[in-house]
Amino acid sequence: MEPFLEVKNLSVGFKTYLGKLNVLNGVDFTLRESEKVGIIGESGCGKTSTMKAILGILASNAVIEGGGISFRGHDMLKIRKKQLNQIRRKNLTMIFQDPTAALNPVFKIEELLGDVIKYSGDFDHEKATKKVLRKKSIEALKEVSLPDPERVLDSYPFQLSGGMRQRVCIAMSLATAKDLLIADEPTTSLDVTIQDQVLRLMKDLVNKRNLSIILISHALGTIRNTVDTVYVMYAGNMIESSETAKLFSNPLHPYTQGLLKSVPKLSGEGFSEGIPGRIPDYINPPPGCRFNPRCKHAMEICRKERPRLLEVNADNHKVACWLYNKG
Amino acid sequence: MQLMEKIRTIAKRYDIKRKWFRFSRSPLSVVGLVVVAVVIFLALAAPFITPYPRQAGLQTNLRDKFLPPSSKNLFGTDQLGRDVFTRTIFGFQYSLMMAGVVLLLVVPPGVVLGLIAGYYRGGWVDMAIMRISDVFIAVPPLVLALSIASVLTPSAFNAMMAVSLMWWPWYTRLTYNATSSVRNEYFVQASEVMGENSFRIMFAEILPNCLGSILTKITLDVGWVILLGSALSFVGLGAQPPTPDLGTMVAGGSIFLPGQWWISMFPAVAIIVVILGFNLLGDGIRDIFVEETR
Amino acid sequence: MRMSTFILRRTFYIVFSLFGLSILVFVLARVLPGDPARLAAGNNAPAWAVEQLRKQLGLDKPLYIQYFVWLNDVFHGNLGYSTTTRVDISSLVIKYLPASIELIVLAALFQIAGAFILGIIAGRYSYKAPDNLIRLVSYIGISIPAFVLAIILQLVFSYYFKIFPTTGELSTGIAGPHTVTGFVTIDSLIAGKFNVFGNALWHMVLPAAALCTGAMCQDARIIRSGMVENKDKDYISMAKSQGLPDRTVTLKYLLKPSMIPAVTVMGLDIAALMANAFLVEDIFNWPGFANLGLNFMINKDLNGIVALVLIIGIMYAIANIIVDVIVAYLDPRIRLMERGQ
Repeated sequence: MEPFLEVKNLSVGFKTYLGKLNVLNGVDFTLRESEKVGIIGESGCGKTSTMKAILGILASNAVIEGGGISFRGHDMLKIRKKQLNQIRRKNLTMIFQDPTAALNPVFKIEELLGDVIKYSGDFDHEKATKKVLRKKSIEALKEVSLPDPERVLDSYPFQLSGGMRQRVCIAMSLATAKDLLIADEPTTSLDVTIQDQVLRLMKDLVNKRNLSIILISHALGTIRNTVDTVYVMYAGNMIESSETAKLFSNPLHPYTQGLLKSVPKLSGEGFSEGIPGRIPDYINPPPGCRFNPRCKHAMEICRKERPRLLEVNADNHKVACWLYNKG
Repeated sequence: MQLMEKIRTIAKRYDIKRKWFRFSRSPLSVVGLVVVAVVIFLALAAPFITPYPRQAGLQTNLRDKFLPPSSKNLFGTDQLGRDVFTRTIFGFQYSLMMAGVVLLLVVPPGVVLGLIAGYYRGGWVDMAIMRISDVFIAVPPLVLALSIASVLTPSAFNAMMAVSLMWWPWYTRLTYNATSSVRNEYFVQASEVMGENSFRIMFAEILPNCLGSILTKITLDVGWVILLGSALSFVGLGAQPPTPDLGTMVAGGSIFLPGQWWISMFPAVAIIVVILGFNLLGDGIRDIFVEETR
Repeated sequence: MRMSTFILRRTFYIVFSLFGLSILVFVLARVLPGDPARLAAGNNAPAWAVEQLRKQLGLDKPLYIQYFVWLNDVFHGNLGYSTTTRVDISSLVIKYLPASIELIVLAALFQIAGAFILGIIAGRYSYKAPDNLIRLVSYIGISIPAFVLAIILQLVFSYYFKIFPTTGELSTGIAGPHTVTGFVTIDSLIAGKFNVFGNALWHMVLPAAALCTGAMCQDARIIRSGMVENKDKDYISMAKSQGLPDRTVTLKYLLKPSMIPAVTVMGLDIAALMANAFLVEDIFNWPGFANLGLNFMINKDLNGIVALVLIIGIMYAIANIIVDVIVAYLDPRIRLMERGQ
């Protein structure tokens, strides 16, 4: 199957006054149509940056050092603005981690949602009168199970609760037909009691419309229950990927193993172990494999050359580790 | 030896190294610092480095009046033959002195009042202090300064008094806002619970958090006070001739425009340079503290 | 809270402040300069004339009675008589205020337009050439006192380049229109005399430019820094990710939150305009209220000074209320969250 979305060896840095943060270090990532993929990793490992690179919304101090992103054959890094906007309207959409920050505080929801629908290109601008847009907005809000959509439309973001704001964001993302939904830790900033509701809502919508989804999370439980394929990211690299069940039952990369071991268990004996050490400094990252300073099995070559994400057995389980990729 | 140790501890406590790093990041701020340093130096060294120091006072030289800029008189001479360059440098002296006196008079009471009002927020103390300062803010600063100065006998001293009288509420308001926002933070409440004396809390806990905005404002205010002062002298309500105040000089030379432009123009440019320097410096200082709170 | 409540509360505060202000200035004007009666009579007047004047002007009564008498007069529209010229101050105000208002309004228009244009361009091309140029020019613009700028503008554009007239409201030889409202611009439009209208505007350009430049540069910087700060915020990334056209993202979603700090400052800007008028009107010989006020101050016309401060206080207060209303309209959080919701 032709790759729907392919990120190849993507390297991105960020210029700060302290120096250049070399965050993304050759990211490899593939997604097929209608596939449900999850990305797990610690805060700061570059998950969000990779997604922003795909959509072309990296911060103004970002520098693309190398690699490529292709979506349905389009080179997303070299694409013209007009076409990029087309893709953003018709194919891609993203849900942000903090719904409060993602909604412009000085506009009513009616305005925010209305504009998304108006410029989606689904119909003529002339036909997009206030009444028509309002009607469609209400439909979109009903899709995400928001009670009293009229009141929500007339409200400002700060007048809504956290859960409601995230639902509004979801409504905005899926108000018009899309192929791929990127959800960046959509429930992390919500109350625990709401998290489950919102997640279930998302799963419903994804299934109903047969969307591809990239779900980013650092909650292993959520990933386990939601996606088919999982990527593990560490310090700007995808270091392992496989089918969900297989990753949890047979993690190959030392980092993944450590990660899974560090989840506290309610049953059984002993305490969970952490992984000694800290995530690397992005200004002066360690050469070769960025995990090598913390890795029990580090070898000479690990400090010299970065291992690529390669398939280990023929069962689509990929690892970026010299323990497995000999040569 | 002990002094070095003390300096080192203070530098560490206030994180001077990092602050300098941030400050020097912006070239414009460093330019401001340089300009300010030069102006201060010139002001202090005025009697020693100017070619005709006595012409800054009562000495005149009618024989050489209205001379255009030359190697003998860098900025030319004015209508009484006095060297404009010398008088401009002395003008810096007056401007800085005025700013210094005004801020010295205004900042301590203004800040203290703001601290008190902010700490006892909601009480009658707050009401009283803030309503009174509101009165002074009800009218544009320059207008109030002009008005107060106009009912006094025009002089440099009275101009300073006029500006001081109406300037303090701005510091009270600034400190009040800063204090209010910090007042209910946990570390303040912790001190209160431990039974610390209110005044100690205000000065040892709350004030350091306001220092950033206060310092920024002081630096920017030097520019404003100089501007106000020169405006007052320009209309004749401030320093009187023959005092070499920059505003007075601009006014005095304005009747000779455009012919003998140098009499007005050089002092005018000097005013701009001083204000610009302090503005740049003030922005640099603000940048240091803004980054801290992020 | 509702908009009407908001306005009422602000008005109440301001009226309160104005009373306080009137007391302050009144007291200062009576107390500081020594003997007001002596001042009014002149240094050469004999003692009995001074005493007679004192009784005539009511200056022999206790201070607080003087204040209430004055206050009463003000509420009846009587601002008293100029201590030096004995002319009714109210009539002077009516005669000279319109010219100043014309100037300030034009200056305000220049300022708002200029601030937005410069601020948006600088924000859009941040850290590139247009931004650097605009920032540099703005720094200098803020640092030039209005009176210095007025002189420079006059020198360059009037004397040297001869593009604009030097002083006055209308060129000599051009008759002013029949007085209907007192505003030369409006009156000439009413009378259909478009050449007079044009001439009047032409005379206003330089003084208005001198008045507004400082504040314009300040506001441009605020708008610019607002845009740069908000550019990378999530809500802008989200708008972009939805494929909204560039123009909409910049001029609608980025501009609105970015311009609010600038609008908030505009109240102070109007203060700056009014204050700078005192210096600029003098330089351009503009027959305005500030020029009149300046004369009051130089001549120690105490009644005039008190009346002046009061009127400026009122105008400033009205301007502030209008600005507050605009800000509350733009930023819903301010009007809806004032009670700490």
